[in-house]
Amino acid sequence: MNIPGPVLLPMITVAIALLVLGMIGARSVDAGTAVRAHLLLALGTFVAVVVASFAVHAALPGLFGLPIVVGPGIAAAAGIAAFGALPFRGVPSKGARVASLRVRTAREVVGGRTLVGPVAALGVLVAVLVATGLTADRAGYSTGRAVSAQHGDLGASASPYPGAYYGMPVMIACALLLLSMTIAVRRTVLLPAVSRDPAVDGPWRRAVGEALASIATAGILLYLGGVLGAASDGWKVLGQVGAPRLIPAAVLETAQSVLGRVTVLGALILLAITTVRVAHVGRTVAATSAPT
Amino acid sequence: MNLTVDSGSPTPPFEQIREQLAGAVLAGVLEAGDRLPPIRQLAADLGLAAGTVARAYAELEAAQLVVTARGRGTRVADRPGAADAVQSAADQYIEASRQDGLDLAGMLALLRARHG
Repeated sequence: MNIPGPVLLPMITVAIALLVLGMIGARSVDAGTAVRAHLLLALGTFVAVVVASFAVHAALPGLFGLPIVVGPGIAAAAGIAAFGALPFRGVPSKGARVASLRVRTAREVVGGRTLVGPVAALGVLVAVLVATGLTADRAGYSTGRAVSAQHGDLGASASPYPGAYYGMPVMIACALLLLSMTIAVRRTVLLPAVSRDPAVDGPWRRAVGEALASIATAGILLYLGGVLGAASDGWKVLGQVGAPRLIPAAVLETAQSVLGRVTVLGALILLAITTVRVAHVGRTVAATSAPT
Repeated sequence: MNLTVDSGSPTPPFEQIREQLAGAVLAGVLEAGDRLPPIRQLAADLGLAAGTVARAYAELEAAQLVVTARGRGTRVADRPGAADAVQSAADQYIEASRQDGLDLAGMLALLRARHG
């Protein structure tokens, strides 16, 4: 699988633009500018790592497309980790500064329904990976990365198919994504307050949490789209040999193919919306900033 | 409750934090079991190094005013505040100082001088 040049070039341009815009504002002492810049760096890192996964795939064809398969989750984890790891410039320390003794919690960043999207997407991904893992080949050269069917004298095999060969690295990448999300949320909790009033300080932290959750969701949806797309190709093979199934192979193939495309499209739309919302996060911080 | 740290004050920032927290605990403003913000949160909000807040917390812990437990953070120790007699004397001191036109900084400076 290779990504066409007309798609790759805009992706590289978007990644460079996001990273440059992010680096310009990352050292700002203005809280709004700094938060927006760090989120742009997170999005830029996401796109850059996805592009890099295609480069690695092209350089290492012997990995049977594994870099592309693992790419989205690693990209999301790297983007979120970039938000959590990059230093924020401290607040100016001249004169008197006042701080509330109220203890901030992670719930203020990712409370309520913020995590419903990534958790639901992860749940569906795990379910699909278990199903495809159980139906993938379990012996031979193509173990865990192909599906085969035999019906009478007819036999066929299709690869790539999301068995354990692809599924296990994807699950490890999801675990890394969870870890980077935890670190980034913790970091957001510890960012300096722009006001001692929780009603003023809370909204921008929630907005940051939603942006980070959207990046995580997009990474998982790209996985899901890829897994469903690859699985649909495998089911097509089963349909060709006419193997008897509880659900007709042609129905499964069509459903998975459509769902795969819809899921990938959903991930791209989510990333676009998140990019637009990031600018709003910066404005929210700036609007709520009050001298302390 | 809020904490104020004045970088222009001759009193070191860690001492300003320690004084205010100790005062709040002894006066009963902070009650036993109340959780203090994590060191890094308070340091970020006050624009200080984490070590500065950590030193204030360590001195409060040494004075048995707070306890730090892994996973539970730093909490006000389970001990009574200042005795009634001390609180009553503090009220009288504040009242007398106000009548003489002393502000909080003046009261603290006088206490420090007398305490030695």
